[in-house]
Amino acid sequence: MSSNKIVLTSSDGESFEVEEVVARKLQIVGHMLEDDCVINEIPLQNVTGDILSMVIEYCKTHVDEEESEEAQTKLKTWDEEFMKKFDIKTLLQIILAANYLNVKGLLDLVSQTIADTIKDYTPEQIREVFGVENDYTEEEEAEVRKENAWAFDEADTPKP
Amino acid sequence: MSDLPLDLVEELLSRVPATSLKRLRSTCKKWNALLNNRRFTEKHFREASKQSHALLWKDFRVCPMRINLNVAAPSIEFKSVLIALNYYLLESENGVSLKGNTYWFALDDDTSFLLGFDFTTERFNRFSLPSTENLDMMVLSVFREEKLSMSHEKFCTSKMDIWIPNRIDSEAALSWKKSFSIEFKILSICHYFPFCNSFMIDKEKKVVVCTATTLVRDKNMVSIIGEDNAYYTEIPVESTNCSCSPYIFNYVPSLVQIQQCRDKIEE
Repeated sequence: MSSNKIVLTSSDGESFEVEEVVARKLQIVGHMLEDDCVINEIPLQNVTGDILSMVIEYCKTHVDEEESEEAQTKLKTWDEEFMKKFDIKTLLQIILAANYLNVKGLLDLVSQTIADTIKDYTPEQIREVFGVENDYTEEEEAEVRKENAWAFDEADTPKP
Repeated sequence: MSDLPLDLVEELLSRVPATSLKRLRSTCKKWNALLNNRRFTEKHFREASKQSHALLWKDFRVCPMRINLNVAAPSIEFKSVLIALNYYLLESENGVSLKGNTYWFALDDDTSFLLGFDFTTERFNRFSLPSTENLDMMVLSVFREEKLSMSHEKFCTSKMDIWIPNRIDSEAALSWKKSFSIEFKILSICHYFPFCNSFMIDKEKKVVVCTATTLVRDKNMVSIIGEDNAYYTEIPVESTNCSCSPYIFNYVPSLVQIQQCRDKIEE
């Protein structure tokens, strides 16, 4: 049985033709297909072509998830290598896309990758990357920092 | 860029280790509020990978330790005193806590067993111990808030075995598996076998970090010993209080705060 092809179109007009099983990994697409089974072109408003192509790459690799330990290890290695390609800003775009397109596995993977990356960030770096505004007054900020000074900080940072 | 919705921020932060989050409280008020939110702290407790810090209890003081196994001669650095107490803590061999249960060694009619107390059901459970010839020199430990381990020194030898249970079910027969063994070097000056009174293990590297004492009371050491004598390092620890030997224990940072009863404090 030949599998059905579906065209996914990004917000900036890029089109990707993928097999239906791959498209169904995007749960948002899965739901659309259930509602109306004759669609074969789906516009995805909230994601750009370059990000969508990465999501599709992930879905293609994860399309048949085998149970065997060997296959799982292989997938895990692939996931790690895949994540290494992206900087933090791209990762944040991917997490938004994975959330919008509802790809659970990718959402978990990207969340963990971002968490591992930001754990060593300073509050200043976080604000810059996340576009968060510092709404503390100088005194308030100093107070919060003092309160949360950590007994192990000294032990955690390597000596110069 | 960004403006990540708060539920995604929550998803990310629940996977960041507790000590990093503490530092990130000063990012903005919204994040600080999130980190104080009880639902979030519980989610974080479930999802974030557990960190593990070694603390040393000596002379009524708790000192953080930094253990580095990744250098040629493993090192331990003792940090300044974290807190000082003016009362005795229970000696570590009296019990360890794991996932809401506390475990002790117990004895009845010449049978040794592991006694567990489940705080959620408020019930005692009885578990078997590994079948070894004698069960005198045993110590319990918990690593990474995940698993129980037990050390067993054969009497009058310098060998110590590390046992790990396959699983703990209530009332079920517990099956223990020997994980690895280490050997103390015998101190030639005093001919006493050192005995371990507290320990922590690194299961992957098969290394034990333990406090050991000889019968000569002023000989306290922190030892790092691996399988097949790898990592063998001994660091003497001065202790002024003879009745209470130093011991090490594990601390797992968490955002969950113990709700204190206000009335009692105010009284």
